[in-house]
Amino acid sequence: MKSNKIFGIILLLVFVCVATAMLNDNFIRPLNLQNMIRSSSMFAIIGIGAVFVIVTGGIDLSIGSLIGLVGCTMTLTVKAWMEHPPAENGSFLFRMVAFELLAIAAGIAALDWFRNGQALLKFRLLAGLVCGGALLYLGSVWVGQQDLSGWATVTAAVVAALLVALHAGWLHGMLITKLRLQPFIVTLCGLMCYRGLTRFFAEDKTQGFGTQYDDSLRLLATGRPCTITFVLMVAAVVVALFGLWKLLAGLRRGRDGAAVWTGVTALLCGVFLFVVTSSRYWDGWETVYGNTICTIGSQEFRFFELKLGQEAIERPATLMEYSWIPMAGCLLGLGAINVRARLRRPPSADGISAGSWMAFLVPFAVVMAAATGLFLTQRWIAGEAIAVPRVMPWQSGADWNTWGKIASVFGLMAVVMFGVVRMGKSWTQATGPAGKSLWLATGFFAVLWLLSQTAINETRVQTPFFFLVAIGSVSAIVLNKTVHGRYLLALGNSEEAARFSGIDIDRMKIVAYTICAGCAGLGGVLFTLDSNNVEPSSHGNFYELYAIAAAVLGGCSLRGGEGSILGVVIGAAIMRVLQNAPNMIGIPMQLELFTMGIVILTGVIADETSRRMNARRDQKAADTTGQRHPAGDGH
Amino acid sequence: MIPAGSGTDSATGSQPLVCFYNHRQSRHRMTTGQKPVLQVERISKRFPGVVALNQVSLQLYPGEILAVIGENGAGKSTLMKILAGIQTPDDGQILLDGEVRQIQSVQQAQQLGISLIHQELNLCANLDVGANIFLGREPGRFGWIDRNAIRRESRVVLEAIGLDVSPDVLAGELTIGRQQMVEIAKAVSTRARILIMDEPTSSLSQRETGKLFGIIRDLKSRGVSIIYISHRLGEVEELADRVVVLRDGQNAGELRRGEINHEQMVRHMVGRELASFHVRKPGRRGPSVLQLDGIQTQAFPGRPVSLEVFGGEIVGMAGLVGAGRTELLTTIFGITPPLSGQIRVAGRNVPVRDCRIAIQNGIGLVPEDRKAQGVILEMAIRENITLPTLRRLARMGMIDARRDRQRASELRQQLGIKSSSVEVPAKQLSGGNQQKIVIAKWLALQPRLLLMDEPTRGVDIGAKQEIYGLMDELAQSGVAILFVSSDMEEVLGMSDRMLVMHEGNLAGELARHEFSEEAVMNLATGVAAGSPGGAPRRAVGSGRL
Repeated sequence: MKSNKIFGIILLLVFVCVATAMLNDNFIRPLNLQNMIRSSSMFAIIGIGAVFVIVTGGIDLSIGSLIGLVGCTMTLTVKAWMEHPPAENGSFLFRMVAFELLAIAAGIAALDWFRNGQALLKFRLLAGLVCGGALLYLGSVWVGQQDLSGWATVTAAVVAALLVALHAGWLHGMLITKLRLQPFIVTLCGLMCYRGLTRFFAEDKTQGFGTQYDDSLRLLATGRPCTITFVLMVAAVVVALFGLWKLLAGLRRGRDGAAVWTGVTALLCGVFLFVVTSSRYWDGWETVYGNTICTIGSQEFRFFELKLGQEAIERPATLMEYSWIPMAGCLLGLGAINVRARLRRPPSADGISAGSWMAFLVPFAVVMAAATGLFLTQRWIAGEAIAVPRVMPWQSGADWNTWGKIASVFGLMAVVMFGVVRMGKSWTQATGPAGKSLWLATGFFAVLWLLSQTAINETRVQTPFFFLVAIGSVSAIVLNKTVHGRYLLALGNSEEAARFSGIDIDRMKIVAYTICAGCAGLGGVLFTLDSNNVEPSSHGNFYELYAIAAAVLGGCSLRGGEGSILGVVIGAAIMRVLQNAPNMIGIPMQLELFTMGIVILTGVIADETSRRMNARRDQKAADTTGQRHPAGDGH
Repeated sequence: MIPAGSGTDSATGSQPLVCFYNHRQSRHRMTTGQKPVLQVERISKRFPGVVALNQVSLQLYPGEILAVIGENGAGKSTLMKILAGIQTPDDGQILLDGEVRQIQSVQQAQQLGISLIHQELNLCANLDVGANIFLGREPGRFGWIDRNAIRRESRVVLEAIGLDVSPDVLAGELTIGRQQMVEIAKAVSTRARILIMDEPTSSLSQRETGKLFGIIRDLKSRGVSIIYISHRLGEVEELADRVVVLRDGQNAGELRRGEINHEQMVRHMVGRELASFHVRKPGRRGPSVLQLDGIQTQAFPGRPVSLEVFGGEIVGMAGLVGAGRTELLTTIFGITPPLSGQIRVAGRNVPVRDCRIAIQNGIGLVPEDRKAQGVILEMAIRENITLPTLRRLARMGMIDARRDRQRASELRQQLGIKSSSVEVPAKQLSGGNQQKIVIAKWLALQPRLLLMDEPTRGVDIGAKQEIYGLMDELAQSGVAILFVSSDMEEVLGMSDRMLVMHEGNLAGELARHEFSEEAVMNLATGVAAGSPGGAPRRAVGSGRL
């Protein structure tokens, strides 16, 4: 996965957010931000699942229906167990799955007997299926006899729902690999079947919990443990530690410039982030417990929360406002490096070199810094409190300084975007690891500064975000650092070559589809708990398309072999903002899907165009080096 | 022969007609006293990272067979793609009948009478032969295709080139050799004035090759000019009127009819005198590594094969295409499990049901189709090399990035894979280097037995020698090698012992002192006695060797 692509979609996200915020300051108010983060986290979770399938070159169309089925079965199970203990009624799902596993085992055995005259050819698989089925059945009987209450019911219901999802994914994988059916068709049938089942089980009645679980189960999706600032504080520590580790590793390995530069930059960024985000807490804070999530015995489990002290609440802003200072510094540094690079190596014949373009940024950085400085001094002199929650400052009035600022923000973004497109792969060519680190730091501070203009101090992060962080980091590691991930990418690129290298393609695919359905299941649980209102015929409709769109926006190729977890998370966020933005801007709600389509299309076109421009640029670069090559041969 | 750019030979003055344009590299020799039909003047083409063509010039006369030779990456294919309108040159010009022409597309090239037969097959497997021959220029009107006309005309063309195939057969059902012949029929049917053939014989049998040469000579007598690209210097020697040698994207010399011989061509191609063909010196035979006992492959049920391969031995496998050699290798490797029979690896019964079991038992396969089965083109050299042995470089599923890189770099150096680093995607490498990646994949495994299917197909001479050296070295270290090859020189030169297959049967075995082309051909075509199982001895038209 090319970092340029990720960088590009991050810019797209920032661009869409800034544009919406400028048109309606409600966009960056705490409640809206909170909703956006929650819902985009949930979409990102199902998107991550889709990435695993898309990486193998497959597709999963059943995500939305599965979300509906999971939501419905979960609410039904909870209600059945709660309302009619002993919970005979709610166990039907477990039994269904149990019987199905046994039936599949019988089917496989019969097929093998028929074909090869040996029923137990795949003994391990059969044993697994039979044991799984038996366990599920016994479990359902046991559960049916219990007088369940409280957390146990709830846990069992969530487990049941996830089991249903995982099992569906496994079934997709088996059908696709063992019977060699096409993924599109298998999951299309899934889409229909699960929707039908949902409506049948729920008898087409809207399902929900009422207010019964508002303070327990539903907190899994609606809990608000802490503010964004606190999350940023934790992130700062992580970034700083990463930087330190990288720095030490780089120093130990001798003169490893890239590692040292990355390390130093990350360390400084982390420390800076910690200082500015924690600044409000300097005036005092206290720890409190939030709502109860669940009760086990007499023990109540609650969210842990950090609360500001009274004085801190009165202190309106954080030091984050001043992120523009390091940003300007980084830009100046970049400019300096590039000017130096250019002086050392004159531009090539066509007059374009990496150095010259970056040098263009120097005056820009100065203007930018000056504008921000002027603005802040002006506020300072006027004695205005820099109030929180604050909206984009240019909302207050349209004087020269406001317009200057709008121009500079968009100018910066345009230049950066243009720079990225123009520079392509060689954006670090002239400047090396130092330039790359400075680039990243610039972006980091710029985003931080933009964030400081929003109400993030007051915005609380909801639980789905933490689910996303957990699932996202695990799957990023799985995809990029493990044997399984490498296998998935390999088989997505060339199934045949992967097979000839001894990779168990069938198993990898089954795993991929199971992961996808598992993510959809978790997403389904969260969506249901969040909305508390499952409409059997429409809950989750089109979500598979959102997931696939997020994956594609995030840099997945539908041909397979290419995918990025960070990309899909950002892609999902873009999708959410796009859903939210028309509402905010005042575009009729009916056009919502239209705008989403158009923006995604634009993004894909921009990506393709920049790819081609990069290719052309590479060729030009090759020309200049290539012309040197034969001459240097001295034939 | 005339060295490019040398000003000493100016015998061309006797042909004033063609000397109306004159520059440094156009010092050609007239062969027919006619105007050239095609002149390429100082064409250059650059790709990211490489200069594919650097000021290349050549002339082509009516009714001439011009061979263009050079190592892989010398720029032959690029030059031909430019002529056929697939790519456009960055520099230089193309003259047809003395007129400057811009060839922008394949259609335009065809209109100008230039037709290219690709090295790779470009048939639509789901269409029948007739439809393939007339693809893109179907006869008929108002969008209706006149199927009868197609059938009629394709029959004529197929008959003309002596291919015994009905126009109604699906192209995908033909053997590779026959598909190649269909490609030729397709090009012939366009009635081109200039026919470019890029390695047309790489998958043809000798019989078919002979037939093809007949067609080429026939076309020549009808005034069609042919540009013939091949690695097989013997064919060039037999066929060409004139040879243009390319090296590193530049003209490296030109040979006239009388000068065309093996040594001269090789000398120009590599720019130095090349040591004679690699000849293997058999080493000591180790213990039995592989023993097949009545193995029936899925492709040839009812034709059990038994054989034994010993450590430190290189066993060559000859036979016509479709004789079941590839199928036998994939069966040993577990890609297509055998219907019956036993496979014993180092004396132990091994139920090779899939290739993981084979790999666990130290068997590696260098597959026939390098680009689809051997390497993953989009992935880096490193990722390709360590793919089969990744689990050994991982702890609890997590890849140890440093060992991963280290292992790949070691193997890259050991095999001499030419690239700037191990992070370069495999697609940027030449065929020879890609093949070395495939071999490296299995060296990481420290195999007992290495199965190689056409180990040097599409590999240039330099890399070929390196691969032979490598095979020798491996055998020296006790690895058993079983390789399939359709290159007679290769099988004769590299094997300690040869197995010949014919229609799924093991037709015979030749010891080193029995090696000769006739002996191999007799066994391969089922002429010789000793083909067990009473296989029907049909005339073989679909094979190659």
